[in-house]
Amino acid sequence: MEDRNQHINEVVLQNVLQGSASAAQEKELNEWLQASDANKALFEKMKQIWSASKQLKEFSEIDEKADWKKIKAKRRAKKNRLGPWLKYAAAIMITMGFSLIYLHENTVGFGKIAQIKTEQEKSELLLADGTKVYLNKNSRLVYPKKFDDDKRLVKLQGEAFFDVKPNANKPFIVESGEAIIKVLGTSFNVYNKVDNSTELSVKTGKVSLKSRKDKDQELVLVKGDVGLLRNHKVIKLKSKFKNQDSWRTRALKFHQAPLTLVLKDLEKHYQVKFENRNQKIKDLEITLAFDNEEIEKVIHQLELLLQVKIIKHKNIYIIK
Amino acid sequence: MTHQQANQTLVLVNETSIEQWYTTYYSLLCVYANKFLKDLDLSRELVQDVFVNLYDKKEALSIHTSAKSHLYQSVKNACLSSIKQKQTYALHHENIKYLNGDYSYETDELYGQSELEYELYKAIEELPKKCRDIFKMNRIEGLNNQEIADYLNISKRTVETQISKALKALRNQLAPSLLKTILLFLLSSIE
Repeated sequence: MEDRNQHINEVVLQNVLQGSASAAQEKELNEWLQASDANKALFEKMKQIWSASKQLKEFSEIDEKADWKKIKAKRRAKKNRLGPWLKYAAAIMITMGFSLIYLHENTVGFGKIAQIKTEQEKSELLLADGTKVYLNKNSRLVYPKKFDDDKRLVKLQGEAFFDVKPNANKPFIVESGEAIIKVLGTSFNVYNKVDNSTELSVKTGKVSLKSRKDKDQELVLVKGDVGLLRNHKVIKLKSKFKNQDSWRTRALKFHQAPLTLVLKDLEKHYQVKFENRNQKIKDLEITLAFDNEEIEKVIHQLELLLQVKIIKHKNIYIIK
Repeated sequence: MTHQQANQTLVLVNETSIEQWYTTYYSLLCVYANKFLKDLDLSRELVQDVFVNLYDKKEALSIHTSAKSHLYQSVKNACLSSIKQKQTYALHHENIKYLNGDYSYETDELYGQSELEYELYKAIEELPKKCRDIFKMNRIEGLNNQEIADYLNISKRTVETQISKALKALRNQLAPSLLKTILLFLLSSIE
C-alpha cells in the first residue's frame, strides 16, 4: 500500500522539491504526508538529500590523488630540513670538480690548451708540430700546447692560412664553424665567414672538407680548388685559388679576371665597398697586380685602367 | 586506572593506517574545514598539514578514543587557530560557539553535515552514469529539467524519470546515517 503510494507520488515529490509543483500536486503531497509518519520521515529525508546535494561541488573539486602527493612532498621537505643545503653543497662540489677537470682539458690558458686572438692586427705562429699558421684580423685559433698522439686538432674562428708540416701518421684537423677540415700535409686558407659558412682554398696538396653534422657531406679538394660548406652542405666552387690569402701575402694578382671578382677581392682585402654604376665596363676582364699598395693608389690605377671616375662616399667607392 | 585504560582505544599509527585514514576522511575533512574557512584550497592545505603531522608524531603518538576523533579535533583546532591568526573570526560570528569548551564530532552539527554530504557524494558517484550525470546537472550545476532535456537532446519526461530514480536509490542507500542526522535535526529544531 505504502509502496504504491510512494510510486504514485514520485514525480510529485520531485516537483515539490524543485519548487515547480502545481496546487493540485501540493494538495496530493499533503494528503500523502498526512497518511503516515513513515511518509513524513521519507519526505524529510528526501528534502535533506535534495538540499545537501547542492553542496557537493566541493567534493568534486578535491583531487585526492594530487593532494596525497602533496602530503608526501611536504613530509619529505620536513624530513630533509637540513637536506637541501647538503644537497646544494654536494652539487656545488661536484660541479666544481668536473669544472676543474674540464677547464684543464679544454679551456684556453688553463692547462693543455692555448689560444691566439687577433683584433685589428694580424698574427703568425708556429705550432708544436712545426705547422705554420697565419691568422687574419678579428680571428681566433685554439690549439693544444702539445698535440695528441693520433691527431693534431685546432679550432678556428675567422680566417687563417695553414702551412701544415707533413706527418702521415697524425692528420691535421681544423674545426671551423660547421666544417671539419682534415689534411696530412699541405697548405690552405680557411675562411670562416660571418654567416658561419666556411670557405676552404687549397694552395698545395690535398684536403678533405667535411660537415660536422652530416658526415656524408665530404669533399676532397686538390691544389687550386675552392670549396664552400654552408648549411651542412659542401660544394666545390668554380673559382680557383688565387687571392684568397692576399691578406697574408699582401699581394693581389688578377689575370683576365672579371671586374666583379676583382672588386670582390679588393673589398675583402681592403675592407671597403664598391658600387659600380657604369654598365659599359661591367663585363670587362682585367689583368692587374697590386703588391702591398695603399687603397688610394689602387683606386687611382683602376681609374686609369678603366677610364672611369671613382668617388669615395663614406666607405663606399662609386664607379661612374 | 584499569577502568580508564579500558576506555581508551589505542590506535596503531603507521604508514598503512595513515593511508587508510586518508582515503576515508580526507575529502570529508576538507569540506568540513571549508565550512569554517570558506576557502577550499586553504582548507586542503590545512588538512594536508594535519596528515603530515601524523607522520611526525608516528612513534610517540598514541591516539586515544579513535582515529576519526583525533583527525576531527586536529582539523578543527587548526581551523580555529587559522581563523584566530587572521583575526577575522568576528566575520565567522556564527562559529564562535565552537571556540569554547570541549567538542566531539558526535555533537558537531557542521561535521555531521559534512559527513552527510560526503556519504551523499559517494552514493551519487555510485549511481548509473546517465542517472548520475542528470542528477548532478540538476543539483550541482543548477540546470532545470527542461534545460537538461535540451542539452542532452532527450525528453523532459526522461529527465524526470532519471532524477526520480536517483532520489529513490539515494534515499534507500543513505538510510542508516541519515536517520541519525534527521534525529539531530529534529532535536535542534525543538530547541
